[in-house]
Amino acid sequence: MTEVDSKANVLRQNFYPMIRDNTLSLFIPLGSDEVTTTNDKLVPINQLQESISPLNSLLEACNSYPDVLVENHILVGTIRHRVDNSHWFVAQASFDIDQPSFHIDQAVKREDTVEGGDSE
Amino acid sequence: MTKFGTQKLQLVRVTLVSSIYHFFLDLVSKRGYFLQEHDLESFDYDQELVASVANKTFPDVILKTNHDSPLFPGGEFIEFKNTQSYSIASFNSTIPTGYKPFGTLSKKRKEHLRLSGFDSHDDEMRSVYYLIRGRIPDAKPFPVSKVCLVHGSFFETISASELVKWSFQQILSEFSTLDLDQAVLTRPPSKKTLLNRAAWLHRQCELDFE
Repeated sequence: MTEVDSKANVLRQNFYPMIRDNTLSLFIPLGSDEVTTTNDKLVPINQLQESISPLNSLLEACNSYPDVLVENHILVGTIRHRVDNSHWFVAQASFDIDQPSFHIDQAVKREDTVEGGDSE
Repeated sequence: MTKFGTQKLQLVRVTLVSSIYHFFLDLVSKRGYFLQEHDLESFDYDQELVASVANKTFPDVILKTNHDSPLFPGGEFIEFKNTQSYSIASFNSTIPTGYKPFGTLSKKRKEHLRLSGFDSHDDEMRSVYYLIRGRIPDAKPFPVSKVCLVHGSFFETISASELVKWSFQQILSEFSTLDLDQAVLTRPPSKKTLLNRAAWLHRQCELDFE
């Protein structure tokens, strides 16, 4: 069985160390003029200084879910592709609820939201 | 002790907009599922986001379009890839690409989307995403998993046109190194060819006698 180029394999720890075990990640391409620095690190969503369109779209999409500040569960960052050095936006959520990005048992409720949504 | 998020975030959406970002947030709200052994097709996706689902046909999922939302046009194609390792098998059924025209869909699927109001012109390009889950089932003390929703251009390490060109060059290269046997290469004439040749000879004979 042949495999994709290992430098394009997002699951490979040696090329993409920020993609850790037990995480869910979104990869969106960035225009060459959209980002000035890439440090291959993921940070809480309010700490990413760059104003880039995928981040803005993600935040806008988060607003569609008013019950919970879903963005508190997500880390974001910009990385470089290991084959062609193109810039990519990455958003990531951990499956591990002890990780900082996953406070499911203390999910922050928006103040202006009336409680009493679905419960399971 | 590490606990895993099998709980749901209980996200309740207020707008009827569908996009890859909304799809990702839906996955975030149910991400504990990915630690389980189930396949990606049986995932409890938010059906409000999805326009079409197909098993074993590209793409597995097509998101709904939003004609009134310039920020979220929607309509993305999503293809699933599930592996029991952190290797990603090459894309045998389709060349990975970041965009595909709507016209590449089957006639039946296009008709389904037309009836539900999520169709478009054949030449309209749709973004392609791959939902990839790599899983190590025998990791200790628990199985581990990585799930990535990746725009298809990530895997365009070589362009489709270059890939086709390279493939033909490869075939020609292999063909040129064969020890050719003229006897094998000579194709016996078909029955039709023989009949045509016989008819031509017959006509020549008739002309000669005239």
